Amino acid sequence: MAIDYGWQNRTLIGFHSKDSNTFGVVQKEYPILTKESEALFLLTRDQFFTISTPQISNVLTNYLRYQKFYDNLRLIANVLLVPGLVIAFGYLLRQFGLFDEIDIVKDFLSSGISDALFGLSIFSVFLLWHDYYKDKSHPVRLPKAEKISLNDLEEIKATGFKFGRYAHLEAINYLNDFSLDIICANTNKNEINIYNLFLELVSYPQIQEIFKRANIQVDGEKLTEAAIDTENLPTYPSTSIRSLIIYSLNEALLTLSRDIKPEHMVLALFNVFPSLKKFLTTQNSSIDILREVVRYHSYEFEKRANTNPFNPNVQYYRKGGIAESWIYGHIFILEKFSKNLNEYVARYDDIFGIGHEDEIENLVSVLGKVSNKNALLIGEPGVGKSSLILGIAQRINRGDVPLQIKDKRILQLDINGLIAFSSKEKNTETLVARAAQELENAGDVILYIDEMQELIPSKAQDSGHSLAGILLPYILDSKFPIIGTVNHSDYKRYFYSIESLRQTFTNIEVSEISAADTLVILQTKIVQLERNFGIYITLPALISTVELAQRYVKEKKLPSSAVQLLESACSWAQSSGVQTLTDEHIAKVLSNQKGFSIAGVKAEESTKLMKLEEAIKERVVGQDDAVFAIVESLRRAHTDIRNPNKPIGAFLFMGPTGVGKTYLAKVVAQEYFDKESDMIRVDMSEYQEVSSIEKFLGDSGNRSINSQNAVSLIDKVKLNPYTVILFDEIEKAHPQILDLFLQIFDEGRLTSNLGEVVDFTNSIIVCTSNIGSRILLESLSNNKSTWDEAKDRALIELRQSIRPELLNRFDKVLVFHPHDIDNLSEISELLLQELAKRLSEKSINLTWNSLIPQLIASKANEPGFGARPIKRYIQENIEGNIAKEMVEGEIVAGEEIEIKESWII
Amino acid sequence: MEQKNILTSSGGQKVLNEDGVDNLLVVFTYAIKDFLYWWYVKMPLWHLRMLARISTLVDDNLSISLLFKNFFLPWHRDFSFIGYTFGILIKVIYLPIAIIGYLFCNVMYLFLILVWLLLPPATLFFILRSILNI
Repeated sequence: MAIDYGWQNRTLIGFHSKDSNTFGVVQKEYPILTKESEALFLLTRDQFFTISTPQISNVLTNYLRYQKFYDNLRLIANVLLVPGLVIAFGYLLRQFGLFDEIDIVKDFLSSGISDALFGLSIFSVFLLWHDYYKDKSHPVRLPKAEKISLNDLEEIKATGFKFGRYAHLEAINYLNDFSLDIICANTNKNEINIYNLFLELVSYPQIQEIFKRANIQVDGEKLTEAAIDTENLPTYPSTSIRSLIIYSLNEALLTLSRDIKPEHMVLALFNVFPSLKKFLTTQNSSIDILREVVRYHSYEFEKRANTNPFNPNVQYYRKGGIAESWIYGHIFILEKFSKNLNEYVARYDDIFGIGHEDEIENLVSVLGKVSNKNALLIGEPGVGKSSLILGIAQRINRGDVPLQIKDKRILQLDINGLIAFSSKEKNTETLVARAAQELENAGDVILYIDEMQELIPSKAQDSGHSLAGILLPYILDSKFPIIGTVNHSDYKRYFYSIESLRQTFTNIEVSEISAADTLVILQTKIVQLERNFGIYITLPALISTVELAQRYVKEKKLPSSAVQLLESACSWAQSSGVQTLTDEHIAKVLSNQKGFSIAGVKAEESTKLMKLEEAIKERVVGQDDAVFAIVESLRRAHTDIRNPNKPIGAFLFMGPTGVGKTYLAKVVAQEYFDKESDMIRVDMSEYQEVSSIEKFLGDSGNRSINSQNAVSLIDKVKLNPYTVILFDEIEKAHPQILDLFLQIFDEGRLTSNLGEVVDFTNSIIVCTSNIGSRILLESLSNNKSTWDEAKDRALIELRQSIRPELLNRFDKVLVFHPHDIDNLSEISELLLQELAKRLSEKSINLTWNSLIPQLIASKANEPGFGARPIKRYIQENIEGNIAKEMVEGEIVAGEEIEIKESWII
Repeated sequence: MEQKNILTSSGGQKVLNEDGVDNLLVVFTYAIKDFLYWWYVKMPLWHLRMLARISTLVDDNLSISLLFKNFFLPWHRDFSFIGYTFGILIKVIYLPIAIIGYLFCNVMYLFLILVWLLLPPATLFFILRSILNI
């Protein structure tokens, strides 16, 4: 599941040729235009950026000269400061009469020379101040590139754009001094040396820091290995600088920077030159990762810059001031069992409520209403309901909220604190009434009640407290805003049936945030986590955290799942002495937590998958088609090509008994998931009645002790989602139970009777059926019918028995071939090898000649029963004889025994 | 949205050109123009924005406009005779002090702007007078 970083459709780069008067859009390849008559331009939703050749020649001709002039001016001003300071010190001492006796100093300080020098040094302070502060007082700020609508994009691509609709800006004005310096320094005789430019850029400390955060190594050795040289990064005429600046501007806009910095030039080079793009790929990285790192740096920079209230370039929000509390009421009682969230968030640097902008907007509009200003946030645990409230508290602290909730404080009611406090009071009713009166009088309180179902009488009864009955009427009739939170199942259970509650609250659905927003949340935690755990966190580690949490931690929602995974990984890194946290470490920590090897963890995982087909074939005889189909789906899962919202694979195995259907499932569980014993096996003949649907989905309602102890399929999959689930003989199950499979196969999840959602997306689902077995067996003995014809007839029989919508949802229906005598010999050989392995643990070496397996196969073969008779035959005739001889003491440890033909005959 | 114009004027036209730049006088003139433009056009406007910011900050921190808006609201919302009387009394005492503080900050900053404007000519005058006195 790739993260949508949101780069798309924010900018559009186009080119224009004066010669042919043509216009085009730059799409996949990024051309470097050298002809003066050709030019690139960049469009955002509202702006139009251009750069001209005279501007470039102007920069190249004049910029360094002016820099040199200012360098000299700075030097002179600094030199003039020294005598100025000495003279100022002298003036001071003269006031105390220290130089009354020293005539020469006294005369000098009274002379016009010292005054002139002093005046000049004061003037030099003005010059230095101008030099230092001019960019700070009036910083360059690129506009925010808002998304261009798809309609506009299509229109621009088809017919061009309306010039007058956009603000025309000059790209050259957004280049910062570092970028200008580098461009000028690497341009000689009207040619720009891209290779040297690249080398100089990557040597900058801030660029090195970006590479470090992106977990990319860029040094001479690596560049030589990747054949990055002057051939790949050639020298261009200086007119090409226009293209470079437009591409750098594009990167600056996408990474929300104020101006075009050297890091944007590096991004542009990586994006434009295929050899550099390839270099990123060899480092397991991409332009997206690099860009995201630069965006993170811009974000950190902006965060620092936005905190100074004395900066008139930053918006200021009113906070209320020292006398704010005078106009609001006291809450002496309520303070004892509530928490002030405004004060709580003020202590943290974290940014709350990321990704919930729409919900916050809805909530603010509900809270600002004149009547019925109560909101109920409904969402699954971990989606960020509490964070959303903290986000509002943070915005109130900043003042960045509409007038309706300006200067409000959010108090979180501590229900347990209230219960404890009320136990000390004689009259609970009076206590609650006084608290409610305080709330009403206060005028600036928004009451927040987490897990609001605790105040519903039916739930409160379960929890064993009687406050709900007292508190609820005040809530229903509140004159102050209330925000409550509840999850879906509790809402359905406790709120849905109470009409008055539903009328009192406006429901706001809080959905899971996107992967990109989760990534932003994790980025906000980097500084704090690095400080706490003493490690360095790379961006690929964060990306991996989000992707893996989204894919494998289905029992929790984003961002909670990702935050917890990252914190676990940081803790693990600290205890393991890991200094730099990378994506591999995240996968490793998750693998440890899940007890399952996550794709991409180790190289040997890929090697194992490459050999999986051979490994399975070594153990499963005569079913090559089925093995191939299963391995193919596992490979897809490993390379992340598969649909992440479906099970890894869903297969239907058909065939007579004993052909290896169950065995293949077991072998896959062992070879892929490393746990044969954990395969979940469900005998569908137990679900023949419609009433058994409850058993299948786990008991709801009247939970007897027996039903609570019974482990349903749901429970098993919840405990162990990384496994093979085998549904044996599905044709025997009731059709309504088979309908549940549609949800499993389509969406990779199943909702239990208790409303829990169980994830099947990490499971391989195998169903077996004996339908058509008779036809398949007959084909072996009947010369008239070929195998293919029999298979077709069996499949027709299958279609008549199982509904097509279910059959269509299987990835593959595999017909297992009945075993012929050669297969049975091979199976005999395998079973003997297994026996030999067991005996070798007792230091007994079992041998047999090549005829023995064939002999067993011919003796044990019972047409229509497959390999099972072979197993029984070996048990009875070989294992039995060996056991007998061991008991009689004829075989002892360390001996070698050979299977005798007499045992078989 | 701010754009800088290191080499072009606000109209996007070239201030400098290849021929002119060899002459140190052109560079010097440009530097003086740049300095004067910053000191007497850009910075005074910046100072006025700063004055507005300081005015807002002081008003907000001393809760002046907030108290004016809620002048008749009783002390801590105690809707009794004592609450009303005490609330108004406190505000009547507090607000003049806060307003004096507010005006003082604003006047001081206005004075600072004046000093800012006078500093370069005053310094030049001081230098010239000193040279003449040598």
